[in-house]
Amino acid sequence: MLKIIKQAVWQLQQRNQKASALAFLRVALCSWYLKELLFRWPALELLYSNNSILKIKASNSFQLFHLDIAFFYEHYLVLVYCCIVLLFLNLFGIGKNILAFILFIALTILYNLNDKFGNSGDEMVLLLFFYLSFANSFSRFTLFKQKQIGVDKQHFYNLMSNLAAYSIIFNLCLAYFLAGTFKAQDPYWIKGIGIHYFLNDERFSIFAAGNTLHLPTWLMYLVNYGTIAFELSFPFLVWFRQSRNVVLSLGLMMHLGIYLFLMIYGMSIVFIIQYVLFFTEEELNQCFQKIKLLFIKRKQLQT
Amino acid sequence: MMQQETKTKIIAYPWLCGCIIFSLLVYWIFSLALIFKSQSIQSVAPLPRAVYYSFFKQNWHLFADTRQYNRELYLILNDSNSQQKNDSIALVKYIVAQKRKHAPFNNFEDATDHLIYRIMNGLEQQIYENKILLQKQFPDMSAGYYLQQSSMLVEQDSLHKSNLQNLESFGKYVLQQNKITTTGKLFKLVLVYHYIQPPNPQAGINTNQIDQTIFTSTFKKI
Repeated sequence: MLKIIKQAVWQLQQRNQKASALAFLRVALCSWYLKELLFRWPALELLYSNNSILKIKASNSFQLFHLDIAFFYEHYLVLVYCCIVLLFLNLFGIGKNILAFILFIALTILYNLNDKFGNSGDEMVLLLFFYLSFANSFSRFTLFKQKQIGVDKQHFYNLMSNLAAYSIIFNLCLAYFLAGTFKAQDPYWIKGIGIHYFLNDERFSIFAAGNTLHLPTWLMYLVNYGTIAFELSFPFLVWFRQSRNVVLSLGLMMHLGIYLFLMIYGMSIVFIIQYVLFFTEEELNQCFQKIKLLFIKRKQLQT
Repeated sequence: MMQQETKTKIIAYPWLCGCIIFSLLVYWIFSLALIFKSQSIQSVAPLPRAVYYSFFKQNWHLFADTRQYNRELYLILNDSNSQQKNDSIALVKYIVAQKRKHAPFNNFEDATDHLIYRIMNGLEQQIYENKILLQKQFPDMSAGYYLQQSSMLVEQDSLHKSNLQNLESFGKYVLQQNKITTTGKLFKLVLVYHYIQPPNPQAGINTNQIDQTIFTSTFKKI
C-alpha cells in the first residue's frame, strides 16, 4: 500500500499535469470576477453600506475571527478596490501563490460581509480561488516569465499543483453528484415534473411571465430525467476519453439552457470554465497552437 | 540499471509531502462529513465547522428543492381617512420585471432579488415556528386563526424584527421608484403563495389550491 502511495506521489511530482488548464482557469476566473464586481457596482451600496435600504447583518465569521464588522462596513469600498487590484495582479500572474491566497482571503471577507447574498457561482468561485492559491497556474499567460527553481522544489511544487487541480476536478464531480442525488430524492423530480416547476418559477424562468408553460410531456420527462442521469453519471463517465466529450457537451448544453432560460448567469459560466481541466496538457497545447496559427495566418493575410 | 531506477524515484521533501497529503485528506474527509452529517459535526466539533463554513460552502442542491408556488409580497395602500383600499403593488413581480428588463446585465436587480428572497425566507421561518407553537397550544382552530395569530406574533417579535423591517423598507423604496404619493396613506404587507398549475392533474399535488395567504401585517403609517 505504502509503495503504491509512494509511486503515486512520485508520479505527481514529475510534472505539472494541468499547467495550461490551470493557467486558463486563473485568467478566466479573474476576468469573470472583475466583470462581476464592475457590473455589481450599482448594487454595492445596497449590499454592504451602512446607508443601504436593507439592514442586513454580516455572517457570524466576523465574530469568530474577532474582526470589526463596523470597520468593514464603513470601508467596504476600500475592500472592493483591494479585491479589484488583487484580481488584476493575479490575472497577470504577479505575486504568484502568496498573492493568490491573499486574494482568496479578501474575496472571502467580501462574501461574508453580507450573509444573505451569495449564489452557487460565488460559492464555487471561492473554492476555486482557494485551490488555485496552491497551484502552479503561472506557466502560461503571465506578464513575467517564471523563474527557474531547484529540481526538488520544482517537484514539490508540481505535487501541490497536481493535488490542487485534482481537488478542483473532484469538487466539480461532487457538486454534480450531490445535485443529482438530491434531485433523485425530491418527489417532483422523481415523478418527472420537477423541471416543470422550475420552468414556471417566476424568479428564474424567462417563460414564467404570467401564464403557465406546459412542455410536451415527452420533452418534460426527457429533460427532467436527463438532468438527473447526467448529474449522477458525470463523475464516472468524464474520465473515459470516449464518453468524456459526450458528457462535457451535455453539461455545456445544460448550462447554456440555464444561462439562456433561467437567468442564472454566474453559476453557468463558473461551472463551464472548469471543464478545461478534463483535457490533457497535450490536447490543450494542440488547441493553443491552432489558435496561434490562426492568428498568424490572419496577420499574414492582412500584410 | 536497477540502482539508477531507484535513484530517480526518490521523493522530494518526503515529510513535507506527507504533511500536505495528510492535510488534504483531513480537508476532504471533513468536507464530506459536513456535507452528509452536518448536524452530527455541529455537536461534535462546532468550532471547526464554523471555521469551515466561514470559507467554504458546499451546498450543491442546484434546483433540487422544488417549489410548487411563486411567492408574492403585496404592499397594500389604504386611505387613512376612509380606510378604503387605494392601491396594491406586487413587490416580487416588480423585482422580477426589473431583472428581466436588464438581463443579462442585471447584477443590481439580481442582488436585490437575492436579498429580498432570503429575507422572505427568514420571515417564513418565523411564521412557521409561530404556527407550530400555536398549533400545539390551541389545536383544531381554523386556518384563518393561525394566520392572524402567527402574523401578529411576527410583528410583536422584537428579537427578529429585521426581516419585516427590511421588507417594509423595500416596499417604501418601490413606492418611491414608482413615484406613488404616500401622503395620508396607510400600508400593510401580505405574503401570498400562488400555486403553479401542475403539468397534468394526476402528477400534481395541490391541484385545487390556487392562492394561499401566509402572512398579513397590520396597517401602519408610511
